[in-house]
Amino acid sequence: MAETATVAAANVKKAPSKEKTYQVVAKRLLKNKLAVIGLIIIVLQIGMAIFAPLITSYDPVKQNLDASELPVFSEGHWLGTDNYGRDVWSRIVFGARISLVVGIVAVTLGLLGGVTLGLLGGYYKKLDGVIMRIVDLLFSFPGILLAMLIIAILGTSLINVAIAISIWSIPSCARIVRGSVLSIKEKEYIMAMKSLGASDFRIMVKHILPNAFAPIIVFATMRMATAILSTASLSYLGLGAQPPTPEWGAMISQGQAFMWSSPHLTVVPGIAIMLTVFAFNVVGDGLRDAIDPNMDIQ
Amino acid sequence: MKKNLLLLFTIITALLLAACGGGSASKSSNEGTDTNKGKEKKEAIESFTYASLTDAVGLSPIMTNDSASSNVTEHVYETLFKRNADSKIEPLLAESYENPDENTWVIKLKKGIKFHDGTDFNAEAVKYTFDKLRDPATAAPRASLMAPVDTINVVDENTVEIKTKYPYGPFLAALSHSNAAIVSPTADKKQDLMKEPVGTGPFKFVSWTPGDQVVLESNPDYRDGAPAIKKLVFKVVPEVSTAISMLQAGEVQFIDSIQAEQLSRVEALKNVGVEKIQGTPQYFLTVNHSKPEFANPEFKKALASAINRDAIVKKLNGLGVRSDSVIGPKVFGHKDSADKGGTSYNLEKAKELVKKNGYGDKTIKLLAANRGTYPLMAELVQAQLTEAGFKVEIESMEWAAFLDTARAGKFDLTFLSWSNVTGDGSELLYPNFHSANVGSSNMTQLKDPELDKLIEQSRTTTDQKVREDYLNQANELMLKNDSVVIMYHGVVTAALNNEFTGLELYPTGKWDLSGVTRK
Amino acid sequence: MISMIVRRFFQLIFLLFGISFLVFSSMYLAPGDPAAMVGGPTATASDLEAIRDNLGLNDPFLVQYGSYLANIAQGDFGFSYQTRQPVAEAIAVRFPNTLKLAVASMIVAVIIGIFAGLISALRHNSWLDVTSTTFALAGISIPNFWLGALLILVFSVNLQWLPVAGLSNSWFTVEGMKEMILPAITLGTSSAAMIARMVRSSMLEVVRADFVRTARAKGVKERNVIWIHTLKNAMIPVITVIGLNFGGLLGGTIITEKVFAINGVGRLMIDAIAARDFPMVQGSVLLVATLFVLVNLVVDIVYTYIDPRIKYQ
Repeated sequence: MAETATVAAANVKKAPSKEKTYQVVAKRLLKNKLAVIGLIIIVLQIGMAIFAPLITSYDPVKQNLDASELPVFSEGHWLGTDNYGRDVWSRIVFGARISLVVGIVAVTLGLLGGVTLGLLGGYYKKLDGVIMRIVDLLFSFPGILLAMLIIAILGTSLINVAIAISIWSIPSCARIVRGSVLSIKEKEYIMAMKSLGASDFRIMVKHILPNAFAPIIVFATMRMATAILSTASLSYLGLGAQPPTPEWGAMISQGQAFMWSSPHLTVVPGIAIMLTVFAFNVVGDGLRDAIDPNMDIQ
Repeated sequence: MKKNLLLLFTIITALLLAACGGGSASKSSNEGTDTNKGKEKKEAIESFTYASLTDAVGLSPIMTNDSASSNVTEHVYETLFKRNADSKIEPLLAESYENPDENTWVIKLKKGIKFHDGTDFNAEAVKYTFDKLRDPATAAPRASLMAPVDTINVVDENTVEIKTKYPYGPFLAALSHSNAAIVSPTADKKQDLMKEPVGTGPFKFVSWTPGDQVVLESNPDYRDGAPAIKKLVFKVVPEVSTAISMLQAGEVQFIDSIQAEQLSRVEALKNVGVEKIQGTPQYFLTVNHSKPEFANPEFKKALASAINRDAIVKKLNGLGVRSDSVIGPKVFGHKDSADKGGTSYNLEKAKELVKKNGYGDKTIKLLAANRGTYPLMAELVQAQLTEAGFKVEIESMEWAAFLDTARAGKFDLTFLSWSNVTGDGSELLYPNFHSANVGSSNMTQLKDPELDKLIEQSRTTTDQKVREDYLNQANELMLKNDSVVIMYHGVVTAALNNEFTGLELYPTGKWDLSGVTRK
Repeated sequence: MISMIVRRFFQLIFLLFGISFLVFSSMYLAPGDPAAMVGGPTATASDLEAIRDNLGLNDPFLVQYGSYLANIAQGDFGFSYQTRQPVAEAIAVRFPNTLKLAVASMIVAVIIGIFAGLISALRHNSWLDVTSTTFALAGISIPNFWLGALLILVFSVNLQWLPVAGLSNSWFTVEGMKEMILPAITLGTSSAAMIARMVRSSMLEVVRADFVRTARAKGVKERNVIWIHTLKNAMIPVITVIGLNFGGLLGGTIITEKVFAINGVGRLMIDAIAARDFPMVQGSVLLVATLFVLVNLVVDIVYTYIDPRIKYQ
């Protein structure tokens, strides 16, 4: 408990010894077994995504109608093949790329929007009311429905899914950033900066934002989990990846029709999604515990 | 490490249980049905449930045009004529008809029929229904069925005379369309037929819980005797796999339109019999004829040569029939000679044409709706076209957006389909390929004056033999030009609980439950 | 307190106004012609034009939106394009099912969540804690469409213990309860997991708080320490999570309703979006958003009662 307090304090201070803080956080994170497992899964997944062509022997979209719906542990296809005779392992591996890329794009866009709104709202009292109402509005809108409307306008594609999901994470992010800004804005050194004539933009980006860094990182990690899950859900509803893209949610939705004859087509991508989302969640959780267990992130 | 083991264990358990799925025997329990023995000759069926993927939009034949609604309305209302299981048109509420001249239809009606509310069925009711259907103020979705009609006159109680503006060949087909069913005029004036339908059919309306179920009951006064099913339920079950599980568990007795992927599962059910017959629905690939680079004859030839339709039909598990003919085998105007009359699959030739003309240099967009067999066809065709050297990208869309895009002609290639409720060749060619319908139902954007003329002639002739000839010529012209690539002609399906028999399934995919009895 | 409620009420009106504009304009911008959905694939150009005219779709955007708002102000939510029935009626039929599902899921989530969270906190760092934490995280990570499908496969098809789908029996009957089990688990799992995590961390924090130590020092029985002193205080943040989740559940029923063929507002929304039935989309979104805001308001009020330290200006 005492330890945590120091770290939290260290974060709020003008970060006198950044290196040390990171070392402490890393050390603590590595003590958390669950988080380590999560990290391993994430590293494996990134590896899979980068080296996809090297660890698979089939093209993920290449059909072979003579070898369709092979069960798991078939010769040459250890995870079997789908209705079109495409290798499930190859599709899972290439699907890792898609999940990661869509997740990263969605989270980045969401952070850009959320951080901007949060900074402006926290810093300028006049803007705060309007921005918080926008945030409330986005909050009270069922996320999946918002995404469906956005995709209805923009059309079905992974890029649009990323945009739709990013909008979904703007309100939470804005609230977190705004909270941090409010807590530091009145601090002496910021006041001092102001009186020295530093521009608002400089103060916000150079001095306030770094202090909100810790909650943002935790938030981003957990949002990766949500983003990957949401991408899969939207693809499941037929609103995401265009066929024959090997997207995991789309694979489940296609596989469901064969649930009785070839359950692996549903089960395998489901496990892939679950493990990935699980990994990001435990790492996010671990990070939070390591930095400051009382951090409020919804 | 224990936690991971536990997680792993759960996953494996789920996997195993899931994997056991295929083999487990089905214990059918029949909660929905009662085994009480009826005292009549036909053993009464207390309750019979059909699982519908979507809810009815409404229960008035005038105001709706979707299959979930017509499944219900066809059991409550009747049309003047009806296409039977052999695709022949026979009188239903009508007794007979004659054509004193080619613009006049004198229709004699059956006598002594009453609507469910006690109103007499007569010439007045027919006139009332058709006038309402074609009144622009009604804004009926299928007002076009009555478009050629000029005047409707009541000759006497049981005779109606309809005059058309021009000779209208497929008029009987139009009159047998479920949207041309006769409604009770008194009921229509008194209440909203969308909610409380009143017709002359074998079933009477009981209740409708929107989004959940429609309940009908057998009509004791029906002229051919009351149906054995006492209570008929149309239950909304939006997930196909759920519907099949319910069929297996005995919670529903009947489902229709089974997809190829589901077929083996349904056929494996021990308590269910699957009926399959060749039908009128058809699926085709078209280029966008308004874009010259795709309307080019050589491009279309290359496209048709590259598509292995046999492989696609094989993938449909018996739910498709292979034929090149645009007018399908179960549609009026079909000739056997056309079945092999199109450009056949020839990969080498396709490769050669693609190479010669550089068709692979530009990415082609293949538009596909994300429902039914469209995604399947899109994935297979994309792979085949890629093999031939084309560069194709699939653009899949939800249905509403798809219709909009295809109507506006914003695509390169797309799949279209036509279920052809009337089973008449003119009713296929006119909406889909006549230039007058570009912008609405002619999504191929085809404008061919020669074809237009043949289609018009098939519509404005009342001599059925001559009509058949025009239709055949139009069909051959389209095959010669590779206007569209016919992917397959549909096979319509229904799965009925083994304890019952007497389901009538039509080539249009429609069905009639009034003759269902317990085995 | 009263002034807080009044202020929240005005915020709610502003919110609904914003939402209605958002929904209306996005449906207007989305490709897809409502008339084509009413007319079906066989409708001709003239059929479509007549339908468009009849539905008022030929009016300019602002005229359409203006007349919509004017009607709402009079309590009229308009007519569905598809069924031509009042939107309010269609929603009234479906809402009880969605509410049932949300309440049942919440019950499942609260029971499992609090139980698992308490075990974790009381046996801090034991294998029980680790297991329950792992399960909680797995619960958040599982795609619920996938979970629903697996549950149907195992419990309805293979074991035949529970019905496959639908909510056709009433609440407090054996059949009605049985129908509710699988959908409630499917929808409630992620909330259960979130509640469990919140209970755990909140309990751990409170256990170390001064007043608990004081109670222990005063010789209060351990059981009473846990149940009276600790739990009550630990519940404060948990209630926020429950409130937030319940609001979220109402919107999150969409997929569960689809998988289990439940005739609820979520499915109505998907179908209405697909059919470009604008008034129906509007009506159901407004309902869900209003409920979400109201639930949060109630949570805030409850909050001030259990934690007197919080005061609203």
